[in-house]
Amino acid sequence: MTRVRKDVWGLGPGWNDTLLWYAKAVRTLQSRPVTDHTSWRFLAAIHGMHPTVWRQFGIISANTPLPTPVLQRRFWNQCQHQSWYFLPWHRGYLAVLEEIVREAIITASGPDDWALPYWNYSDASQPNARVIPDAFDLPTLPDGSDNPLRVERRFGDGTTPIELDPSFVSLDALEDDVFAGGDSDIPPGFGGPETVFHHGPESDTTNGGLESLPHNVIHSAIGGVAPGGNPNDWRALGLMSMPITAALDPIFWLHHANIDRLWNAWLRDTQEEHVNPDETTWLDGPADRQFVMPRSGQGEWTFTARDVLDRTAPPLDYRYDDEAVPVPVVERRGDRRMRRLGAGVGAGRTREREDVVGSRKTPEPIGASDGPVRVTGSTSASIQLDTSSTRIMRGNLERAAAAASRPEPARVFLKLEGIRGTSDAAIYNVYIGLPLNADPADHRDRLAGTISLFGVSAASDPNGPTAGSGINQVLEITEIVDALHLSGDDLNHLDVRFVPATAAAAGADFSIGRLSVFKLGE
Amino acid sequence: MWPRALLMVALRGPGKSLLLASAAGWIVMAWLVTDHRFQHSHFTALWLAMILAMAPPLLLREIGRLWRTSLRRLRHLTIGSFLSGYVGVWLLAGAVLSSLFVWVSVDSSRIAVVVAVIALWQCSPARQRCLNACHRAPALRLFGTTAQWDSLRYGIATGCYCAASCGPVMLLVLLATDYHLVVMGLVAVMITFERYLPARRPAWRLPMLRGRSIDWSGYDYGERRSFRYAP
Repeated sequence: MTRVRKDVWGLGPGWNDTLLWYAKAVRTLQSRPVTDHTSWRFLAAIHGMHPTVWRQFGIISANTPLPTPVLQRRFWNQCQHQSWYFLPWHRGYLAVLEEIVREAIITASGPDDWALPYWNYSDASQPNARVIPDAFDLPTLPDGSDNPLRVERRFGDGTTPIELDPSFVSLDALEDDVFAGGDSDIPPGFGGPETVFHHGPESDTTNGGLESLPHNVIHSAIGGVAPGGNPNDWRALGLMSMPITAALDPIFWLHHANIDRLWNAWLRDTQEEHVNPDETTWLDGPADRQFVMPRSGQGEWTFTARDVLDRTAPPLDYRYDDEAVPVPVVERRGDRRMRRLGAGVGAGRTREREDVVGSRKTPEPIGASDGPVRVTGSTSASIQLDTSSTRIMRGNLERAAAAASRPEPARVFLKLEGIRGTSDAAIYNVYIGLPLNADPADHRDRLAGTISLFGVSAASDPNGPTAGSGINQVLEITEIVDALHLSGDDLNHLDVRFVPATAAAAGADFSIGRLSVFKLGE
Repeated sequence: MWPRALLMVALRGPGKSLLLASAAGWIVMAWLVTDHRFQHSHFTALWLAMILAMAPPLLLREIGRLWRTSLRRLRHLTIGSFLSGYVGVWLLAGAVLSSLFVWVSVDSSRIAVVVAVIALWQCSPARQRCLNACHRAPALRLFGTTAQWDSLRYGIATGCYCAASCGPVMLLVLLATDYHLVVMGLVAVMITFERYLPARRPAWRLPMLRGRSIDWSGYDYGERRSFRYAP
């Protein structure tokens, strides 16, 4: 039976059958001991777990019996981030939770077609879309018992209910042409950079397109920082703010159902040839660790990306309620760019397969900051650009504007290399070329991107898998550079400004090993 | 999947050139060792050949990163600066090991002591810290002489961590006079495999084996060290 995952706000405000059954099942799973593979905490630990943090937050105590080290090593801390396995792994993970929740619901005489709802926070037609669904804030269920969907360690930006900023729910990632990241993670790819191993030891780790925004930003925005708390101290962070506690919050699963739905939406885009990778390293990887999930009855399911591509087949058995809705036709990124440059669009320009595949070109660094950049609150930094490279770029931009049939000039990317810090809840807006003393709010056209530090603290550990190299973030700044060129800027340097995007985490600070600018193409 | 995955990673970018250099090093090593006229006074040639044979597979990631993240017109210079620092450190290490070799060769009981010390070092948390440091991505400047200076320092730092991690075991290679090439081959495979294991928590453990306790990777949530923002 193929079950239907529904839009949670489409079910109406307050309690409804779907959320009520979810709440009751969450309560059942939470009552199971952590040694039970179908318990809430065991399932959450599959995403991430750290005994010090879990004890500090009261999720386990010093005396709580844990599964054997063999089992912990097999199942726990599996979550795939900064990797092209991000989407397929989370799809399998959600399907297993959904199945275990449904079994608990059926045991309690509930419907056998229950499916996880999704939170479509980007729905412009829904006035409450960006507000967390009511049922996650109400203190009790209709029968007066405590509401397990309401979590104390969910701080947001200090307001109740939590409402996401419009920039946090951007769907710009759906414009990415290619699933897998390119060389040097330029571009990072819709689905994330190609990694061959579980922890990606062969390369620095970079957030993928959909993973960065909205996924990471929403994690940090929902988890947030405790009122009055120090955003640089993990003890003050909400559960959703850190990968090692995120899956403990019941809202995690609705958030990820939406991310999974967006993967599906990207594939359905009929204008572009959006396809999943066909490399066996993706389909059958990673090389060093199996994806393994528990099934009820102490069974287990090992899977690879190949096994989760057909969502209607067991054990997935689901579809989304919006799959018949056509994906809106929007102007392609390349056409929009050429139009803004003043070039003609359409007939004269043939879009080669090279442009779509994208990752076949080799990116080249053309500028960098003079050393590391420490960001604390609103911070400015400067990037020097290589004059001979920018001279060529400016020439190509002028020629592109003059002749309709010329290929697209080089795209430009900003890479924040080695982001290190202790505040996973930090969200910053990154601006390029803001006029001096300008209010960023008046210059949204200079916004390069919104970044979140979700997962940065773990990646900053000198003895963790990345040896403290931190996380990289890549932002496309092609159109901003075009605009600077059109306004007469000589492009010898770029001014970067970091502006905190939330009040609660405005005191968060972090360092960036190097701010680099790369060009892709000629 | 492991061998295929490793090979994929190895052949990216300048990887092919590096592996060719390594092959050349092995050929030179084999010739030097089997040439009956070879004397210990030719140690420097032998040591350089050993570096040429064994270092390139260990430096795939570093050289690949320098290739991809330096200005195109300065690539070869940047890599040259890195290698100058790296090889310089290993030449110094060679001088130290050569003196140790002479000291140890006097008395067989000294060999036993040295082997025991090396075995202890291989299992030590301090060595794991050096191995972890090899995984760290550097932040190198892009322009001018500062770029070359950063690259040189990166080469020196990498060389120091490398020499600390693997220098002691190289003494065993030197001591295996009759089975020199075979032991060198085994050690080369071992240290290359170890190089590509992910960083892990420093602890006393047998090298390359997982150990029984869980390696809780991630930020040291329990420790109250102040966070170092500088990379």
